[in-house]
Amino acid sequence: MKQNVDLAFEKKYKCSNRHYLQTQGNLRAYQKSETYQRQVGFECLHCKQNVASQALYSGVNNRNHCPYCLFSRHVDLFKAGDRLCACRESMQPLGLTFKKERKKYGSPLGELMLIHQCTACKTISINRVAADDSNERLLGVLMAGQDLPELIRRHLTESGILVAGIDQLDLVKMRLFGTADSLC
Amino acid sequence: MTMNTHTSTCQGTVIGKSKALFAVMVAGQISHSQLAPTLARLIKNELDLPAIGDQVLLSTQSDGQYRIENILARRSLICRRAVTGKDTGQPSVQVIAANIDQLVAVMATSQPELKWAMLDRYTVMAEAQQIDVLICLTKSDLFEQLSCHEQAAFQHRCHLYRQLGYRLLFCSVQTLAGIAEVQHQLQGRTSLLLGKSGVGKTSLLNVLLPHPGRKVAAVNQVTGKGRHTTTALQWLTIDENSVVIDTPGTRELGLWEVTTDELDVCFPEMRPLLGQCKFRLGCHHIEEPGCAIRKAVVTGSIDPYRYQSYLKLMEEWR
Repeated sequence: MKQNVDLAFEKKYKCSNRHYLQTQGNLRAYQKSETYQRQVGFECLHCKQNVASQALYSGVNNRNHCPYCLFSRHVDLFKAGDRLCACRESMQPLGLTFKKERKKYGSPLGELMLIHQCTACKTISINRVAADDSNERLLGVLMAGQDLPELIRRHLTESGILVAGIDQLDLVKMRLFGTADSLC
Repeated sequence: MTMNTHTSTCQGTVIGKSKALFAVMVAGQISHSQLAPTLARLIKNELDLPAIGDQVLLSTQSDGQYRIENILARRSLICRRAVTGKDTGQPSVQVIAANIDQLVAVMATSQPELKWAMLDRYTVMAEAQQIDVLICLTKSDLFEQLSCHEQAAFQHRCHLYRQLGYRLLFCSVQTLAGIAEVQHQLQGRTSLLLGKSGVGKTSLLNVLLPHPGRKVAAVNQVTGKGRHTTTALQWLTIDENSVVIDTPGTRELGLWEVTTDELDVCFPEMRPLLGQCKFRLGCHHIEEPGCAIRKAVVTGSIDPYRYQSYLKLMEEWR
């Protein structure tokens, strides 16, 4: 049982020392910190699932989106991983696209990317698909991308983002499963 | 039985300290004094000890020595979280100097790499004590060696700090550019030089002060870091009204006595917006809905890099 002196010490220092915070202090506050979310994981804003952010699981260095519901968070401003955006609202997956390759003789249809739109400030960004993303959900997003409102579709086209169509389903399956004959 | 007979009292300024002895300037003479037993009994932590820059009351002993009887009220106190207590988990304070008029944040344009987040710590530290900040960017002759992208980013950040109301000067001890302006800014004040190791604090003072010769060393070419040449605080007099305190290079600077509730006040660009958030003054501007500060960052009124510095400092204290 803790002595009164220990309790007084905890009360005094629980908000002022990182080492103490990490070991015994306000764990909830520590879990919400930028460092924890970058290095360990975070709770999805949309589906409330716990998501591991280590590159070992996802294959990407800057994990923003949830592998279960594919909702992301608006945290990057100028480039991926800069974490400079103060918006911090959730980003909805709109559809899939293929990132254009810079190589002159490379494939015109490059890496499979997710299109996200911020639910607050309506900013659009494209993000790499991670290794542990739900394949069923990704195919669901591909289908949902066919029914995008014309206004958003035009805005995406003006930004140089071409939404993957249903005619590219085989190519999407190739990117996800390595074969177009998958039953999914 | 011994008797301590106090012949007279006088006032002095602490200009140096070792473990038990304090160098005190009394009427232009330096005297090494001890704490009086009555004062020593009241010392509970480092904050209670006389710091460099403190005005103290001294009593003259029968043997001609001075004893520090009392510390007069401090105008300002610059202190940081001590690096030594980090491993034990118990934070402790390290007092740097007291009664400072301005904090001179010395940053190198290049070599060692300029860390703007560190500059934000200096400004927050000064704002918390309500003292002026002078940003002194040394090694300005190396600006041309930066890439075009780095030069543009550098000028953008300099413009930002000027907009925030901070005085920002470029100087070089190689070309002597901007030295006169730095000298002018130090006149009539007690200034504290703070900066990373290798940025050129002592080199600058060697040019500014009448008696050069303080030891300096070049930055390590392999690591790109300074060599920690200055190892103790030095009280240096420019003239009878102007004093500069040279400090050893600070590798890290943990804030002390700046709580999460008052951190936003230390960012001048955030002050006009305080109280306009949904949760009024209770908002920490991290994830709270209806936050006016976050909205200002999104609209571009507040620089995102400054906001990121704010978040990092908040994270340290949460």
